[in-house]
Amino acid sequence: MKIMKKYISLLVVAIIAIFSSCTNDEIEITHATTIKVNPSGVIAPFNFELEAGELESFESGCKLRVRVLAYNEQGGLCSQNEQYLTNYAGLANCNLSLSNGTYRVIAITDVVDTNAGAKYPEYWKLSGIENLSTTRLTDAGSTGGQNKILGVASKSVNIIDGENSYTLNPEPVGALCLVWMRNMLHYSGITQFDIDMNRTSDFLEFSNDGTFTPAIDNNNGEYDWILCRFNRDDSWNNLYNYYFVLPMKNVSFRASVLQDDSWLSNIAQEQTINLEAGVEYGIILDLYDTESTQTNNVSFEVGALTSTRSVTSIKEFTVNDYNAGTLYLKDIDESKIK
Amino acid sequence: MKKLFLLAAVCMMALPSNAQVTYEEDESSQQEENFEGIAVDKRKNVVSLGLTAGVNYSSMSKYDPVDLGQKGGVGFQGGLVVAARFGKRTNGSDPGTGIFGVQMEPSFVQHTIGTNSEDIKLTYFEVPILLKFYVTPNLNIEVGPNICGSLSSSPDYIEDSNTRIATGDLKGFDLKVTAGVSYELKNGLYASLRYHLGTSDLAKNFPCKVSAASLTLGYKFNIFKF
Repeated sequence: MKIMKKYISLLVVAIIAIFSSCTNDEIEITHATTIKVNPSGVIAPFNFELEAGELESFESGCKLRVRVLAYNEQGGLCSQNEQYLTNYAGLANCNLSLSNGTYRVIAITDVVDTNAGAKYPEYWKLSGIENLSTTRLTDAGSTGGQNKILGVASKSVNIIDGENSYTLNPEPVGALCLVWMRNMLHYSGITQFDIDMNRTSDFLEFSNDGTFTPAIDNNNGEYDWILCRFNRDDSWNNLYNYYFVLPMKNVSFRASVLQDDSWLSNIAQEQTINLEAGVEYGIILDLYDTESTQTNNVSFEVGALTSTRSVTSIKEFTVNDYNAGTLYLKDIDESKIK
Repeated sequence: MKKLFLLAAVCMMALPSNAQVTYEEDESSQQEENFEGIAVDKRKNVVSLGLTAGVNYSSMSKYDPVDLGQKGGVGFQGGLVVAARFGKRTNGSDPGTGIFGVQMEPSFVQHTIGTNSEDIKLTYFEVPILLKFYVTPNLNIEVGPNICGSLSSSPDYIEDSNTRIATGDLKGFDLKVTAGVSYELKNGLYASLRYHLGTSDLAKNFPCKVSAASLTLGYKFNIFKF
């Protein structure tokens, strides 16, 4: 009996000692976190437009998509949200559920086409979002025009008990190029007008610290890529469009024309420039620039647009001579300028 | 945590191999004569078995970061009872009438905690191991540990004040300290009023403890004497 009492007492003491030292596992406790995204800074640096408001406005059915992703300190995706705005002046309130801790929040703005049957519903494809180090924004393959402007913001946030709210201000991650073809009808027989590039950048890669870099591709300086292609339209003597390009250093541009099924790539001197994010550049090919000092009157200018609604600040570059016999002079109709 | 629980289980299995209990089918061999020559039972202790059921009123300590508006709730419980009472109150008393005893009540217990959004229901398997001190032949004071293991919890989530808590993941162990009083009738019926004080947090990052007051009714019958 005494021995039995002794063992019972020992057992009770052992159980108390064991369970008093136990702690139960953690459970998931998340807090509503509001991430306010202000996209106005994405379009603000681009001041030059040939028609008022054309950079900020969207075509019918197009909207500004705002995506917010939150990654933990190990780079794992914890929460995400998506909102749509009708213009860059709006403010997106994205709600996330996050536990206490430090996170890297990424905000991405891009324009999407919500029209049924749209050939390019989006201009940038987001992939690999499960981990920040594999997250990538890839060019979807469309020229896109000004709708291809892409904005990104990255911020470290600390979530604590209670209500949390942070604001992110995305900025453009690339350069906007205004390509302006002038006096396209001056020479007969020319059916296509290209701006060639000797390097390209098709996607943006993220690192675990929230920074992002464009992946540059080149082929020993060969002009294997085109920035744009304009087709001849006898209704228009001048055509222009906007092109959004990820930043690249020492990228060279070359003007080429297709005449009688043959490409002429030496109609003007090649231009080399550093394309920087948040800067608008003018790329202007004029096939009959009366102010040009060259005998063939072809001018090809590439430079940053530093003034609002003006191209006078562009530096004029030297244009190479070309074989005038391959081009035909033709009168232009100034009234049909786009 | 699982290794510690296994160690405890091994300790519990070691107990019966060292218990010194004998059971004689021949009742006459258990009789002895006292100094007056009257035959009395020389066995002193009684083990009994039975069933118990009751209600409890549970409460949870405050969760400081967010006011969940927690309030008490009523739950139910039921299970077995295994008890032993040692010694005789007097030389002429029956076995198992002494002033000390021990009782275990392995039971399924549901605790209900009210909140601003939805009631939290925690189902535990609890084994109180109570040392009993019989103040009178019927009335006794009980005290001892109550080993609790979580079986389930609901709802999956509760939300309040911008905070979302995964209450469905509240699974773990607790060691409650139990104290109370019990009244036992000779026919085996008994009633117990107890308070169970929780000592372990429900989760490492949810530092709330569950305590409860319970009222149980039970019936136990002797299965052997030794």
